[in-house]
Amino acid sequence: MDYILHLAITMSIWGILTLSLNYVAGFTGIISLSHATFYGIGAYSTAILTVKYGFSFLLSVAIGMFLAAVIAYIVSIPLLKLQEDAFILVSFGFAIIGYHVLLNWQSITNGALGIKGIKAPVIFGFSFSGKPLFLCLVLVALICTYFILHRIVKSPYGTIMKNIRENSIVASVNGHDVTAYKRSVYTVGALFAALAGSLMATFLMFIEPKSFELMISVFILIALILGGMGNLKGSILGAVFIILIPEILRFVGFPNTIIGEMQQITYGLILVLLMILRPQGLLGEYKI
Amino acid sequence: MLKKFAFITLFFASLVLVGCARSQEVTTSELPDVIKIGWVGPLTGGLGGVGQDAKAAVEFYFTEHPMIGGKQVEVIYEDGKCNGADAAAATQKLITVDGVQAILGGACSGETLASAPIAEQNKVVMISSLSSSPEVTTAGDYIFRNYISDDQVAKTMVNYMLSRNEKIAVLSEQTDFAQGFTHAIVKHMEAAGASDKLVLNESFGVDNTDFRTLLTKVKEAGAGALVSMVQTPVSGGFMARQAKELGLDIQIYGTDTLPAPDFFDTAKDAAEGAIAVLASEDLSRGRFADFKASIEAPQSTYAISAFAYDAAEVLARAIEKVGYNGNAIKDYFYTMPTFNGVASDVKFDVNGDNNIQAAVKVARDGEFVFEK
Repeated sequence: MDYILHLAITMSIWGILTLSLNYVAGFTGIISLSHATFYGIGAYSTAILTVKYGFSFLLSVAIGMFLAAVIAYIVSIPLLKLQEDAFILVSFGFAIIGYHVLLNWQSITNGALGIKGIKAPVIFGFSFSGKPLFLCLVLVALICTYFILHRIVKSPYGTIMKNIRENSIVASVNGHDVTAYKRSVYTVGALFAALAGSLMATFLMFIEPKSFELMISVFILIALILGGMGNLKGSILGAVFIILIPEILRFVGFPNTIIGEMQQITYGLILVLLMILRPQGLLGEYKI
Repeated sequence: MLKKFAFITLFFASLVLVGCARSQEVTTSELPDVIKIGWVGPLTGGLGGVGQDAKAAVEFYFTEHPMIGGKQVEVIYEDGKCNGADAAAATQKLITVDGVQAILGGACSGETLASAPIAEQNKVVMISSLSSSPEVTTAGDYIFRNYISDDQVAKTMVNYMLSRNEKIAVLSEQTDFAQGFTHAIVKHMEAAGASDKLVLNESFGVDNTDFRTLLTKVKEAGAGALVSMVQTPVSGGFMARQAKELGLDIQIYGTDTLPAPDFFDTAKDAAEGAIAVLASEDLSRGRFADFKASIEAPQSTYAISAFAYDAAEVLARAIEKVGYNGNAIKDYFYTMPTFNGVASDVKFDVNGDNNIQAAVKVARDGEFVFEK
């Protein structure tokens, strides 16, 4: 049962992460490869503030989200001047910078050694130390994220986001400040990615820079494309698939001599097949 | 809406009830019909080769000794992919689904540190034969390792270099391992009051193969020793070769990322004389020669295989002695007599560490040999 709960928690956290990228990439068309950086900012903020300075969980999460939002806003100023391919490349660069800051800012992040001993969340004196309770907490966070983003994308603001995604020049001609919209979307996306990071840090109780490197950004994007861009339910489905497929493959019974390789090859094949059969993703409404 | 609310409430309530249920603990010291032992380490990715070597050594041990106390042993191998999240899921699976009481692993330190809280909570013993982070020392009561800490290796390297009174330059790859090790070198140089002898400390990008600019800076800094803190032996080989091409008269140091055939193939004659300070097999041990002759040549080094083999044997002996129960094995590990292993003696201290000394090896004629 603990294993199922473990996977459910991981899927829920990845659900938040994928939802937040969907908001940025799926609804507004900003294909960012820097999402793992904001995920890392949330995780490290919570880890550092709770372990080193004794902050409460909620305060550390709030600070982490705020910090990620501020950094995203500042970074978005030069980043969002670029279009499509150039933006993807620069966001790729930002992810590398983020990773190296976590790796080399030894005095704050403990560098390559990571931070261990992160305590389970305690909210108003109630500890979420067991897996069932922790799952309740992340499900609440997932539901809140879903409904907040759902409200936004269904609002007139969301309609403008989709207009920008479809044709930013037309949106601009219609009098919308496209850059300002994109900047706010990028900032809100980072905010929720940081929430996912804070939850992951307290769940695993250990974080290291490697957990927030470029490949994690790529996997978040894969989960998003797999679930379907521009569909919030698809994001959750994508997160479920990206976490569940490799875990199911642990039970397939490949020969011990090639077990790791076969699991990875099969995982890759499943992703390829899914994309061939459903190029728009499982519930996709928008294709890159 | 009300139905949805009721469903969510019921769902959460059921989870709380599940959480209140006590997990079933194994309390008997009797051996089960099949002793299932877990293994977690990287089987794929950049460090897949190292993980495969460790896995092969464990397989080798349990092929030689398929039974413990007359009961069949089954080792369940899980790919931790050298990252915390995957290793934690693998550990949880091994404990919950397979019901293991002991896990060999993780290999990467991140695997061990992320799995440790789960092992601790479930009173399952973990014994790592490869994790070298100093953080593993305080990872928990159920976490053991028979390998050496990076901090200890860095200290030995610094003392060795300072004893030769050399000015030191460090060129480190931008990977977590290399950066962590470099920080340990800097820390021990400061502790030795020799910070002024560290004349250059620069990093370079992952998988870089052109070090000429950095080596020119090393030359200008007047360093007599160059710590080649690389992630792969190929990078180390290029660094050594280009240093020779630039005419640097410098002693090259490295750790366990240097000794591999790729280093010699790349560095050619520039490899000669390079020093590696590392966790190593002890050639004076009678068992090592037999082990080396019996096991298939590893992709990395025999030391990796030997430490993994020792971990498997120490665990098997503990199970035979006290039964297959995580708690009993943990207690036994803290009090067991010194075990004469293939790679080293194994005697765990109060932190579950096996305090062994780092070895100093020199590259001679295509292999790293113990310094005489």
